[in-house]
Amino acid sequence: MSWVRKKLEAFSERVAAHEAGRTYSYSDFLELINQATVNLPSGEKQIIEVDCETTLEGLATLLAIVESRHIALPLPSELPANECRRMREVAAKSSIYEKLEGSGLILFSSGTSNRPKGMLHNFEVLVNRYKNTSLRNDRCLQLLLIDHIGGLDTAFRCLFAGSTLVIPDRRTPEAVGKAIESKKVNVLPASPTFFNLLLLSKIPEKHDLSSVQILAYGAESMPQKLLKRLAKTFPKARLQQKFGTSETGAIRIKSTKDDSLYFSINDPETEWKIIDNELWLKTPSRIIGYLNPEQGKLDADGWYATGDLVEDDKQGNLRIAGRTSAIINVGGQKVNPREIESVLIELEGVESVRVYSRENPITGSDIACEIVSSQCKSLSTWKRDMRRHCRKELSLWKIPSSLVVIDEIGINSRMKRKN
Amino acid sequence: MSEKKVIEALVIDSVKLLAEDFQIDSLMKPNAATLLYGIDGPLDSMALVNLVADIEDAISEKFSVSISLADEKAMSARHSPYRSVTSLADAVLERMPS
Repeated sequence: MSWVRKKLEAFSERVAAHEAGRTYSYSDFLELINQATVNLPSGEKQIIEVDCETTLEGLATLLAIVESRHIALPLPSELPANECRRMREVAAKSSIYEKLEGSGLILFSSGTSNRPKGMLHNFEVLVNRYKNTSLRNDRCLQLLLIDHIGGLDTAFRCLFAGSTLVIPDRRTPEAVGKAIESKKVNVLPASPTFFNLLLLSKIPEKHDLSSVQILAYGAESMPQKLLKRLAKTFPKARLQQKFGTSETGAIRIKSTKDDSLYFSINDPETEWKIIDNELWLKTPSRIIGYLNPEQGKLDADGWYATGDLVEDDKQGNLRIAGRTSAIINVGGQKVNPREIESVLIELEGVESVRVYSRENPITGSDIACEIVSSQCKSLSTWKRDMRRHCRKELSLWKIPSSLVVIDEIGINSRMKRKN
Repeated sequence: MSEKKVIEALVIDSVKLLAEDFQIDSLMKPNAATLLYGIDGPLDSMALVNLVADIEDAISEKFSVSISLADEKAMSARHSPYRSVTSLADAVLERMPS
């Protein structure tokens, strides 16, 4: 891993990050790595919890762990204590560690059961994917934390390009707006849910965001209407889609056009295929395995079923159409909630929408929706307007039977919409 | 108007609105005796789910109480509460807090 140090040393006095009122050069960042290395145990491979005061210290510790061939377990202090406890329990014992050569990285995603789903990466392989990153002069906002594959991707892409990470004081639309304005951020990676919050909170009106040149979105499917609103609000910015999973690491993709949700996979190291509309990936940075083996969904040949439903435009371009796990089964007929959301968002006055299933003794499940709107209408009026609107676009059985008007759609610690 | 009549009127209104929304011609002019679901009833299971949700919402809007008409009791009843306007009104009344 000597390339990591060589690269960072070459960037010496360039600015690596702005965080908590401080500016760090790449020399400062290397010093943080050195300090972290001193504090690591020598000898046998150990699981090292990474919970640092600043994101940059956390990143430095992670890179020190790669060099020292330990196993990193990022547990940012923002995580609730109970969640950390469950993660520690899952990470404490697993036969998968026997398969690890070199350094490891443990990441978690929410499992289908109560227990978080733990995954083990070969950390060195993951980091090596950034070896040939070319020099750039970006100022990139870091929204996700270092326990998330998207957060690590943003950070590594930026740092191994000699660019500057801008870490906001808090992960709120207001704090992000402030950070963009004061540090002239030009790359803003975020989830569609966060972009929606940014627009709903009128941040582009309160702060000067004219420095933004690239809006990079990913982690969940992007509604076409939101993409249009972003393009209108940021007329000079390019809209780029990102894609990755905790299991495969980030893969390189290219949006076909700024206003299109279709992308092509431009990653020579990645193979892909579609089975029953689900995207399968084979990447060098795939996890070694799950810590709790019963949760596995990995093919022995190195393939991983992403759980993402895709549509193919027949020219090799793909569009994320939803999650296999979100499919709603109503009396034996199956529907993707995203299809209904894309219709509902076009209804006048609807600012944000979430479609989900509820248990129903008559049909097994029924379809419900939550909408956010500033319009004041009675529930029955909303329902009638919704039905009339949907009737033109959807089969009758796909029209939600229940509608609730709420103040805001919830957001989880990973900046995704709560499901 | 008796409580039963009030609830019946609410169910009739809900059926009328549902018929308009989903264009179910035979239910455009419902009355207490109108059949809804089951033998000779025009609703399919999806329309029934919608009607049940509509009546629950209407009860909640009018009386500020939350009831569930699609419960175990309704599913296992010897005579389905969903067969007609009047049986649905009875089911609502049974579930209203006294």
